Amino acid sequence: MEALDLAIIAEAWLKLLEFDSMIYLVLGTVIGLIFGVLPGLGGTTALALLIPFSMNMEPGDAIILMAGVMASTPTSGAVTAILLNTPGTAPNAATTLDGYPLAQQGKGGLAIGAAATASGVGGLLGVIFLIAMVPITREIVLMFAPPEFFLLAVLGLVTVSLSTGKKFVKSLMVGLFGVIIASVGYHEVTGEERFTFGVDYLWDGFKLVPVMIGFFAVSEMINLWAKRGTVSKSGDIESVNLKQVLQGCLEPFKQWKITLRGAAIGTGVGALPGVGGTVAAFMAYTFAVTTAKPEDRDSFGKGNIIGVIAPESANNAKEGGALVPTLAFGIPGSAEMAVFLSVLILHGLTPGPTIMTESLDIIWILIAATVVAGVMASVITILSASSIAKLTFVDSRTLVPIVLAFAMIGSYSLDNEIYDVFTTLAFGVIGFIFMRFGFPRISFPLAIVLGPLMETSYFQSLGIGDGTLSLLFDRPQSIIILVLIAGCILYYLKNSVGSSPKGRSKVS
Amino acid sequence: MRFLTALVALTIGFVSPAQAAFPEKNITIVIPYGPGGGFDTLTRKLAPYVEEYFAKAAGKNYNKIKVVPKNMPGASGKKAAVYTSKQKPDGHTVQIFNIPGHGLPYIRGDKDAGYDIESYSWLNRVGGDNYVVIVSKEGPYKKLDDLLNKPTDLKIPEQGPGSTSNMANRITWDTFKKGGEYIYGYKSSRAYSTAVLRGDGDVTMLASGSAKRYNKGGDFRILAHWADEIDPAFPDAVNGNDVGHPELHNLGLLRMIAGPAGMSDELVTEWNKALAYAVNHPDIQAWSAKTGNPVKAYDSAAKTKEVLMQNLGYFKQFKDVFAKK
Repeated sequence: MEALDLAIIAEAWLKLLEFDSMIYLVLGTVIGLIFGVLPGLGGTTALALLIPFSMNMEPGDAIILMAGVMASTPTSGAVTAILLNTPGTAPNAATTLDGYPLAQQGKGGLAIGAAATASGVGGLLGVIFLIAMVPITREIVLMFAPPEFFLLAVLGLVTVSLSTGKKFVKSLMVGLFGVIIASVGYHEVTGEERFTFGVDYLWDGFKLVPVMIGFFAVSEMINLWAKRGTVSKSGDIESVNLKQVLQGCLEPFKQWKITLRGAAIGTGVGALPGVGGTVAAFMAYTFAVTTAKPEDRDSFGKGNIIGVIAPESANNAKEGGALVPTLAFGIPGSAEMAVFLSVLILHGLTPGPTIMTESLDIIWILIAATVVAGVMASVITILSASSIAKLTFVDSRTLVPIVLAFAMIGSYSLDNEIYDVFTTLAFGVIGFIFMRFGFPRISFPLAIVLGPLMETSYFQSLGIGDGTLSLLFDRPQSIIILVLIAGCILYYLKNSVGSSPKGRSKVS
Repeated sequence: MRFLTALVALTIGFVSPAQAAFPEKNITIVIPYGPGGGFDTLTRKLAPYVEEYFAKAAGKNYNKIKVVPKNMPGASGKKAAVYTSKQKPDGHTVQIFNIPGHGLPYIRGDKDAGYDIESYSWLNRVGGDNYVVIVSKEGPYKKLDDLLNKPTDLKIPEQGPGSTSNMANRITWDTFKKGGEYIYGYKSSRAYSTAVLRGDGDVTMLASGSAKRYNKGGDFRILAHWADEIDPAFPDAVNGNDVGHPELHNLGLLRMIAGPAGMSDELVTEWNKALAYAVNHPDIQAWSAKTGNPVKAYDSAAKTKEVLMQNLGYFKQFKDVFAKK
């Protein structure tokens, strides 16, 4: 098979081992780690900023630089998510749910070790998936039409709601709030503006990054300031050492089923255009909670290491998946991929069915660079984790102003827009209120991402199906998703029967 | 001495604004859509060459001036258009416009759009194309008549109301008195052409350059090319002359750059030259030929405005077609 031509693969690896290539790869990885760790500045921003520098490079070098960034941002984004409840990138928000409680218990190093390893392994699995998919990318992209997107959005929202157990009703309320927030702005189907109240800033709706920083990070900082003390409520600063980090590194292997499942969800969701890493991470998390033994569910949201492994594995694996539609059809699977697509075109490469034959050398360079950068990012994160984790022992009076400053700078620098800072603050207060009144916050990010997808694909399904939703029930792929939805509900109900009310999870 | 100093300061103060070399600071080119699309790609490709032109003009400030593309998606391009209209007309903020998409309020006669397309300082054209009608090669439509003879309305996947290709679709099918049911919400031309391939709809329209790029694998059949000369890449296509509607050849899309209203004639001329320099640069021409992104510039700003108004004037005839949902 031409796509798996060994000579081309070997040539790609040799290209990567050249001195210049390694410099670009290390540079891209370090830039990616820095942009990932700073709230608001994710891979999309880093790639966009690097475009002018890449213009004069050879296409292969530019791809290596960009691959370094893409493979490393999700890894470092978990560090602040775990230590400060501040997701470095939007998909890392899922990691805060159990990562932060672990940090509060003085196990920040353990969580970072697990997250970095899960990221590395997830990233590798994602690339393996990409390689396996290379010959059949076209069929995969054509298999998923609006009816399937609609059902996938329903699946996401169902699983996240089920994962909150007896807080199901409150979770639905939070989800509804998320859907309302997501409906603000120009509606692409009707061409009308909704809930914009004549404010220019709202024409494109609320931006995901400032909303996430506010909802998760600022709310937590308000909480921490009110309670005083340090992030770590227990544990000893001396215990946060390389040994603890290395213990964390072993966890994704002990929980190999969770790691594998997270990677599978990540690559699968990543391959669907417009769904993205946030959904991948949250779906992997909620699947882990929903399918856990009833007696274990109570520990989620309180520092269960599985709650770190599942989303991190998914988050990095989605990069491999997202490359499938990007390369095969030029349809970006995520925001980063949209910018990466632009890099490919700027360098004269045309994504589409023929890229697999015309530019196979570049594809293999991309794959090789993604693998090496992913591993490099994990190793750097693991080695620096024990030092960074000591942040959780810094007093809130010092820590809160610094984190808030970074959060505000991160929000502002996204588009140099002051209203993004106001959005961050407003959602910080909203998130804090939700926390105080025991509303599970987890359904909010998923609702905000999946709400518009569900609405648009609903209208599209009606259009394709002559005004009916019959297509939801007469295609094998849609029936599989319907069965998955039903299966999740039944599995959850079966495991909940007989378990005490306390035996249900309390993810918040 | 103090008097002399004050006099010198005053003289500099009076003289320097008029004689100040443009640009004095970084230049922003606003892109009305998100990263990764055709407008974004073209702007980012041109930016370094515009920078090169201005940097050379700036002489001793060479290399200090940056041309920074800024994505400002929102309300199908309206957010950016309103933003640009409110900036100082000092040449440091300009925008790439989608014509006729941005001209829809003018075409419809809407007074409350928040911007007036005629009022901007039009600088130059940077790209543009004409349209083709595409269907899936695996589907039942072998020629344009097959579509026109379909007993029910055509299903047409599209980006959304007000998009340039939606306007082209509406005019085309209205010309043939053929009903169309639009399926909106696809994020890009890639996405809605893939939707045709997948069978979400029967047909859609693409800019000819995009059609050539997307059809490298031979997945599509191009049934019509609304141009005086049919591109050899579309052997199955008919044009407007063949079907008795040569006026459809006016269905063009333009990518033009403009600044806020009130830019001085000198600035407009300088910008016109800078954009022509970038577009005609051998690197850009080579890239255009390789990737199928058509680029073209005019040698005067007046010509740019003239072509703009011709294009909008053509679309204005179909005001009633665009009023339909």
